[in-house]
Amino acid sequence: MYERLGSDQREDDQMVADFLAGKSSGLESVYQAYGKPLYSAARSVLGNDDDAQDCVHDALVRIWQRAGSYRPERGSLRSYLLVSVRNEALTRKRNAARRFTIEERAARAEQSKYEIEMNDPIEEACLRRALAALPVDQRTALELAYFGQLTHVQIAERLGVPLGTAKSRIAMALRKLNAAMIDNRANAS
Amino acid sequence: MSSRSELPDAGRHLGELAELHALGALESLERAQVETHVATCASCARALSIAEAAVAALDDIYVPQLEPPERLRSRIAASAQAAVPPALRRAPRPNFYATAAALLLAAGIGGGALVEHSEEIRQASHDSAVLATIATSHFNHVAFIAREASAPVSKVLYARDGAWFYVVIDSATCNCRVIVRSAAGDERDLGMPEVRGSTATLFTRDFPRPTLLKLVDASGRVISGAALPYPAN
Repeated sequence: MYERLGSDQREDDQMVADFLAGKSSGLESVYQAYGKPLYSAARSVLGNDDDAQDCVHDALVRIWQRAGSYRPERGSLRSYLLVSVRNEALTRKRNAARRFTIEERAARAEQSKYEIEMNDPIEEACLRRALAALPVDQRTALELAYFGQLTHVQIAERLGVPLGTAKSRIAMALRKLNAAMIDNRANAS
Repeated sequence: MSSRSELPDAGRHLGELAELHALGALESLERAQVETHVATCASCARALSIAEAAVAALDDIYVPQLEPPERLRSRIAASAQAAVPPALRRAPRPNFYATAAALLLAAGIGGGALVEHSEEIRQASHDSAVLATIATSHFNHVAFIAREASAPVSKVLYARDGAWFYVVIDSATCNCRVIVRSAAGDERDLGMPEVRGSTATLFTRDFPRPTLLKLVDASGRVISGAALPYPAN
């Protein structure tokens, strides 16, 4: 069953419609609503302000200009934009000269992921529990993908496992997190 | 490369690629093919949306929320006000990457990754209207001349009667805009090309008989240009 998480449930239909219609007000409203998480996502991947600004601007304007690249029936615009900006940032980072080794980036991620204050403490607790409950091999694969920003090919090489195994571990871990979040919402309501 | 993941085709669903895509664990070509697939597969679009929601939830928890600089809001507002006219708005064209590959191969000017991947993506994609337009036309092609070292390798295919043109940039990250000039000297900003895999493309029939195309970077600096000669009537 499809579930929307977090702020996605409160998405403004008119804002989405204006954005999809290519109205200037739609782009500005979407940036007003989601600019902060989009910029933060790009900043966390790229590590500097100028690159993050370029990334958010270019990705957001491109999606806005490309009528139909997003359809409301596929899920929330917020999630779509977050993933799109994150993917754009990862592409830019991978295409650029790497300033950090894999080990350095993993260490930064390991350090930062426990320093962050979360908006919703209940959701945070749920997600942390779900992460902790994952089998070690799945959690490691997911962390290398999300925090380490590695591709599945790099993760397989890093873990010394077949590509299919790496893919399965990553996908299963994310599905379990999603299931845990959905259960949490169902129990809370 | 043998380690490349299996990509979706018309008879296969995304499976684990949905989660890999949402996490950013795919390379750009694989991502483009996932987007191509979900454009026509409702069940995979739904699976992808669920994975995207999970990653968004992770972002909400683990990404430090920073206030974006005011300058970014100003840039967004400026882009919104410089909106591309509706006639130039492009519908989703998941298949332009394949179209570009096929046409550049036909023109004998394809290169690099575009050619390398053309066969495997040909099956997964088509853009019949544009392809038909180009394939049934007499067209020329010219390369953009770089003015800056940062300029990506770029080509333009254009109808000999000036009815359409098609810009192909061999870069997914050039972040440049296409400016077109008419014989009368009028210029129009057509916006940024659409990224497909490792290339960016722009097709339009809304600016007849252009004489000059320019690529400008984010600061407005012209990084390359292409003059479009036409046969004498």
